[in-house]
Amino acid sequence: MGTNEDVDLSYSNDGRVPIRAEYTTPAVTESPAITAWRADRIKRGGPFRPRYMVYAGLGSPEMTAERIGALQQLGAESFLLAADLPSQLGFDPDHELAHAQVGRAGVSCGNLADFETICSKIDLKSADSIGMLSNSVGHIGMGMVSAVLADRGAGHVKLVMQNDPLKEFTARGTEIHEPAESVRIACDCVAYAIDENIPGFPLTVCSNHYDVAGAGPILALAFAFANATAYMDELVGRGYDPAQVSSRLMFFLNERSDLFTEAAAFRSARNIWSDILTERYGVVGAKQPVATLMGYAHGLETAEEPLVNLPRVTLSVLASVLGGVDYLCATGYDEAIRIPSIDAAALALRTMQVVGNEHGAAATVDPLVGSLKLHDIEDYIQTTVRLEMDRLDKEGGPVDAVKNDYIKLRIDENRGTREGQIARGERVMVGTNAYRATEQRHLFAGQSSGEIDFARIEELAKEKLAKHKATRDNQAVRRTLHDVVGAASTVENLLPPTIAALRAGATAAEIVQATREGFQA
Amino acid sequence: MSERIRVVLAKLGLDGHDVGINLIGKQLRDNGFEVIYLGKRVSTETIVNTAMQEDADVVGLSCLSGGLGYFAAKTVTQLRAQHLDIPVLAGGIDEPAEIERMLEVGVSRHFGPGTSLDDIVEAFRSAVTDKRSSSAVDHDPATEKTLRADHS
Repeated sequence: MGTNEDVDLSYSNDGRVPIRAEYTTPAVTESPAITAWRADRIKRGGPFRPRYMVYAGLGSPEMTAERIGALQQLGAESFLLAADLPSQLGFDPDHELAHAQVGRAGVSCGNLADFETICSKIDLKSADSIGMLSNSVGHIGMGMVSAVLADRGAGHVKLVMQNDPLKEFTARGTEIHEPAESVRIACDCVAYAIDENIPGFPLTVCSNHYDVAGAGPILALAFAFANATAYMDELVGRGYDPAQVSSRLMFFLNERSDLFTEAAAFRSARNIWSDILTERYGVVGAKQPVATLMGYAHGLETAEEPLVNLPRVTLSVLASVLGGVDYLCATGYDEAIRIPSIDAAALALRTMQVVGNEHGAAATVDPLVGSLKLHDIEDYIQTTVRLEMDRLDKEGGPVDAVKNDYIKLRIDENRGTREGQIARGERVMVGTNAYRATEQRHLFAGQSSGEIDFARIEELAKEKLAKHKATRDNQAVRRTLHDVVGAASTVENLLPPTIAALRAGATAAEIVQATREGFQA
Repeated sequence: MSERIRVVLAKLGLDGHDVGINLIGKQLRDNGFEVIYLGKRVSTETIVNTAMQEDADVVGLSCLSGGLGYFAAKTVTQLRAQHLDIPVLAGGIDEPAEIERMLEVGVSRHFGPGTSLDDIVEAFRSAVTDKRSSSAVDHDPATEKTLRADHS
């Protein structure tokens, strides 16, 4: 270390060059949202890196437990569970339509016992947060997570639930109920977390999936922030304080193709959300909570040269860190081929750690402040997002525009932008439309291998389900499911009866059925 | 061909990726086909019953998340069990062995990612044309038309 006259100075680089934790210049007037964010992070101290999150889930609950246990030993701090399609949609593994999907896109997690197994190798004492993708079954996913955290005395562990159903109708495809019913479920989760003082984020508003579905990153931001207002409106309508609700939302943003635009997207998001809080909810100045942003470094991977995806993911991680992301996960180099192998998942985690701890990328908060380039990009993003939000509002707003197809049409209109640019040679994809060397491709294969016998996973899941149904107290299951129906048919919060049903051994499929029955009553 | 071709389209299993099938539906309509799209998460029974009730000329199935071969083979088998000789075309991803098995059981064609929309429309057209010309040997077209009218 240096003279230590200034605690905000670091010399931990080869040339002992002094690096400040924060740079400011009178030439740049930052918005209140950026200023508040910087102050908050400076208070916490560096390195100004995100929490290392892993998005994991494959095969059986036991396999997933092994995987996330291993990743925690390597330094993963936040665990976002990927569930398979039957679990995300409320189908038991023995349902006709679940065939060949059990354990594929994520882990098979059909009841509370499955989730307990999944979490069995996580040391919750040192974990920052845990959550899962449960967008149309938010009450069930959050019920599982909160039950396990309560049972294991892990009240300090934060929630990181995705639980954003509105995007499913047009961008991701796991919708179950009507849009308004879906909003109600998602908001019941937020309300429950506030009422029960469960820390963290019961709802993550996502722009990522709109981008991936074809909208592109800017329109995606507009749709996501509009959805955020739908959830906020519902909760504020129930009497919750908008600042408190805002502090319980996380925003999952991304841009997948440009280092500076990606960084700018995170900074812009803070400004856009701050304006919404001011204008729509009257939450101003110091009353505004500093927004929590999540990122996912992914998006340019190719299947032909898997290892080459590592530098791509590294640059995306760097962009997110420079932009000030709070929670970050990174994709495996083999994601374009399969659910990542353990070596790919481990390397993705190490990639984030290298960027977050080496090379000084995280030595300074908001290191790109004052960049003319960033300023210009942010101006474009913020103006466009606001225009698109106004336009969406005129088209009925985030819920009605699902039904009248406006959102779908806008996604369709933008789809294929990247493919067109690559096909026309306007941009380069190494190994795809430039530097092609087909006969040398084996150099970039990596160790990825598909080691999972999915047919066997499905058989095991069915056997386990049959045993589960045979040994549980069916009377208790019926009674608790009846309460779920009751809650769904009124405005009662769905979480308490859902958690009771999970504890009695009801499956996610049965709870979805009961919820639907209540909605239709 | 003078008569409009009636197509039943469906997503198989629990797969929610419907961009491709929607594009194909639109392209088929633009080319004069009559399209009945059953949506996502459709059971084999519903597909077979709809094909029968709607007097479909051809069935198009899609799945990208696993199970394409299994569900498509099951659809063909159940159609044939009902004595319905309707061609079935399937698009999407699955293990090569599953694709091979589905084609052996009687699925007419498989389309992988990257197939052009024009090729797909042409395949739907020729699947029906081939079938009509082969069945014309056995049936008087006029009689066939009457039978078709009875169903609707």
